[in-house]
Amino acid sequence: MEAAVLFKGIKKYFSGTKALDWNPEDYIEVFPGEIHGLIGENGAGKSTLFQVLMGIYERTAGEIFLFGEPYNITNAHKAEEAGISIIMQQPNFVYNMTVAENIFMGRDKKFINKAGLIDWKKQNKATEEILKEYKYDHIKPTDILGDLGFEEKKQVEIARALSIKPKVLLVDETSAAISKESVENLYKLLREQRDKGTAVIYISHFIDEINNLCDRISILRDGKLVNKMLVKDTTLNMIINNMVGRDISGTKYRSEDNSSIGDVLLEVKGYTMEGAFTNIDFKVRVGEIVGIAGIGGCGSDAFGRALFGYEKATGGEFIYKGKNDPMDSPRKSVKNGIGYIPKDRDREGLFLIYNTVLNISVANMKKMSKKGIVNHKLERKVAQDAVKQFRIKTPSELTEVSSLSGGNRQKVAIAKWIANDSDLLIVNCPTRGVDVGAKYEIYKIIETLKNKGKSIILISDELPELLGMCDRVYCFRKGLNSGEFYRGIDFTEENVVIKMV
Amino acid sequence: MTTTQAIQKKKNISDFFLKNISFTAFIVLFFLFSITCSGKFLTVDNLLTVSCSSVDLLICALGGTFIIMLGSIDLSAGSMISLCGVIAAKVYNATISTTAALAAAVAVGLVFYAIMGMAHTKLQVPTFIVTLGFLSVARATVTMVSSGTITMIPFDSTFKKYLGLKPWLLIIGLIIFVIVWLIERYTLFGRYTRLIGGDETVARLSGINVNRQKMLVFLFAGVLTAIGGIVMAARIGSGSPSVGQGYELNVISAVVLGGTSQRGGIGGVRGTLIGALTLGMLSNGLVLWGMPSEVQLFIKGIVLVFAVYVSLERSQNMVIK
Repeated sequence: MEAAVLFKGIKKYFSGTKALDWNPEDYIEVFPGEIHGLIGENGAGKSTLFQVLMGIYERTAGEIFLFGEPYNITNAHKAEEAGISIIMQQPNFVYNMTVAENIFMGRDKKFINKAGLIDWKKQNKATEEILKEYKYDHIKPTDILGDLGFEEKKQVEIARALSIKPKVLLVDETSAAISKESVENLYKLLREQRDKGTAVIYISHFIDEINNLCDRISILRDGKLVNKMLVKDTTLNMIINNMVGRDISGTKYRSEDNSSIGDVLLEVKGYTMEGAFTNIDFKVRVGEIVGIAGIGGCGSDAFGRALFGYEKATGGEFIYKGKNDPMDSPRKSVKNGIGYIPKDRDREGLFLIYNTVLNISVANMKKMSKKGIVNHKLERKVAQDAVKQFRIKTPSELTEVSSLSGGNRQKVAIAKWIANDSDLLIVNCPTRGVDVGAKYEIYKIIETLKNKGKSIILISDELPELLGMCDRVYCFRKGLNSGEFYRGIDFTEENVVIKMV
Repeated sequence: MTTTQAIQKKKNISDFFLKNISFTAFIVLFFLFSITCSGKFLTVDNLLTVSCSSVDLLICALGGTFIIMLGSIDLSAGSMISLCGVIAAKVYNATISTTAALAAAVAVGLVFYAIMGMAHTKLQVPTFIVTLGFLSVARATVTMVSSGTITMIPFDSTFKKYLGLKPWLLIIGLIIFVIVWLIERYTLFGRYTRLIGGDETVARLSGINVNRQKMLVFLFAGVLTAIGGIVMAARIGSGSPSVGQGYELNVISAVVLGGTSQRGGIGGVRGTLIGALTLGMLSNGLVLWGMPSEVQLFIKGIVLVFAVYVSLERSQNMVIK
C-alpha cells in the first residue's frame, strides 16, 4: 500500500538549535487507515515535525511525499487544501468572532452570495451540521468563541479540523487538558477517522493512551528519530527507555554532600488554584534543592508563580519561616527574601533595554540607596562583582543585556536574586535556551547557593537536570501531586517518567 | 575601507543624527532663523523672549516626561494649565498673597492628577482614555469656576514680577529643571519610573510597587503642571479659561522631540529642555517670518509626527539590535 505521508531525512535548524536532525536515511511512513503515535520528551521535535508538514516552518533538509507525490507546501492554507488538517496544542482562534466564523475561517468563499456578501445563515447552518456530526451540539454556531470554556474551544478546534474531511489528520497533545469523557469521545472520533481511511498521526505524552489508540509508534529524542515499533510488540519500559535514552550516571551535576539541609523553610498544605493545580502538599527546607517534574500543562508553572504571589492561589495554607502568611504579591515575596526566575526570561525576568547594573540592582534598591537617593557607585560595584563571580560574558556591566547570549542573560537574571541575598529562589527552567557550558556554570551557582543554606525550588521539564540537581523531586500530573522521590533512594528517570505521563 | 565598514560608518552617522534629533533640530533652526529673519531673531532681547515664553512649556513637559517615561500619556495638560492659572489668579486677587495663590493652584493640580492616577491604577483605565476624559472635565471646570471670564493679574504685583517676567521667570525655570533632572537621575523615584517604563512586568516581578509609583508620578506631574499653569498666567497677565487649548500637543512634542520614547523607559528631561526650547524657537521664528497662527499649528503637528517616527525607529533599534 502507498503511504499517505512519508517523511524522509527531515532536518529543521533554527539559529543555534537543531529542532529536527534526522539521518538522511531515516524515514517515517504513515498509511491510510492507521493511527500512528509520535512520542518523545519535550524538545524532541514532535510538534516541529507537524509544523514542517503544515508548511508553517520550512524544512532545512529532507523530503516529504504525500500519496507518493513530492510535497513542498509552505503555508498552512495550502496544506489544508492538500487534505492535511491539524488539531493543535494551542489553537489559533479569533476570540471575538463566532464559532461558525472560526470554523470556516479562510474557507468562507463558498458562502458568498450573489451580492458578494457572506450568507451567514448558510454558514451557521453548515456549522450546526458539523457540530452535530461530532456530537458537539451543545455548542451553537453563533456562540462567541471567547465565551466558551477551554474544553469547548478544544471541541471547536476538533470539529474544524475534521470538517475539512482530511486525508491526513495531525493531532498534537490534545487530551492533556480535557476531561475523561471528552477524551473518550475524541478516541471514538479518531477511530472513526481511521476506519474511514484517514491517516492519523497522534502526539501524546501519555503512554497508556498510545497503547490504547495506536498501531505503530515512532519515537523522537533530541531531534533524532530513534526507533519505530509495533505497539503490540512493545512494553511500557521499552518505550520509556527509548524516549529517555541517555545514560546520565556519568554526568556530574553536584556533590552528594547534604550537610546544608536544615529546618523547613516553606510549607504549603492543600494548595490549590482553580484550573491549574489542586490540593498540593509541598515543603522545602533550608539548604535544600527541591524539584518539580511534569509535562506541559501539569500545573508546575502556575504553582511556582502562585508561591511567588504573581498569581493567586485559591485555597490552602502557606507557611513561610514559621508564619502562616501567604505571599499575595511579588513585592511582599521580595521583601521576605523570595526570588523568582521565570521561564520566559526575556519577557518576565530581564529589562532587555537596560544594562547589567540596572538589571541586577532592581530587586535590591533598598540596599542600593539611602533615603531615596540611589548609590550609583555601589550598584555598579555590585554588578561588576557579579560579572566577575558568575563569569558573565559582556563587554562591560554597562552593556544592554539584550546583546548578551541566552546563558549570560540567565546569569544576570539569577545574579539579581543573589545580590539581594534571597533565602528562597523559585527557578523555572533555568537552562532553557542556554548553551552547554553556561548550563553547568548555572548548576554550579545553584549548588553554591544550596551550600550557603539557601533553598531552591527547581521547576524544569528536563529530567536529567532535576535528578542531577535536586535532593527531592515532586512529580505533578494534571495539576495533582503524583509522586515524591528522594535522592539516593528512588531517583531514576524511569520511576519519575511513569508518574509524569 | 571595505564596503561593510563604509556602510557601518554611514549608519553610525545617521544613528548620531537620529539619537540627537532635538539637538540637531535646535542647531538647524537656530541658524536658519538667524540668517533669514533679517537680524530680528539673533538679538539678546529676542532670545530672552524665546526662553521666557518656553518656561511654562518646559515645566509642564518635565512632568509630561515622567508620565511618558512610564509608557503612559497625558492629554489633559492643556486644560489643567488653564484651570490652575485661573485658580492662581483668582486666589491672588482675593488674598494678594503669592504663596496662597501658589498653594491653591498646586492643590487643585494635585487633586485632579490624583483622581486621574487613581482611575488609571485602581480602575485600570488606560491613561490615554483617562486623560482624554479629563481634558474635557478640567476645561469644563475652569469655565464654570471663571464663569467664562478672564481674571486679570495686576502688572505691578509680586505675582507677575517673580513668576511672569525676566529674569525671575528664567531663574525659576532653570531651578525647577535642575531639581527635576536631579530627581530623575539620583532618586529611587526616578529609577522606578524608568524601570516601569522599561518593562512593567519585570518591574512588578522584581518587587517594585508599580501602582504606587504610577500614582506618585501622576502627583508629581500634577505639581509641575500646576506650576506651569501659574507661570503661564503670570506671563500673559491673566488667568484665562480659554488658554491652553491644544497645549497638550506642545507638551507631548517637547518630550518626544527631546528623545523620550513614547513606549516608555528611554529618554529623560535633559532632552525635554532642548525639545521645549526648540519648539519655542520654532514659534518665534515662524512669527518673525510672518506666518499666520494656523500655519504654525500645521507645522507643529508635522513636527510631532516626525518626532514620534524618529523615536519609534530608535527604540526599536535598541530592543532588537
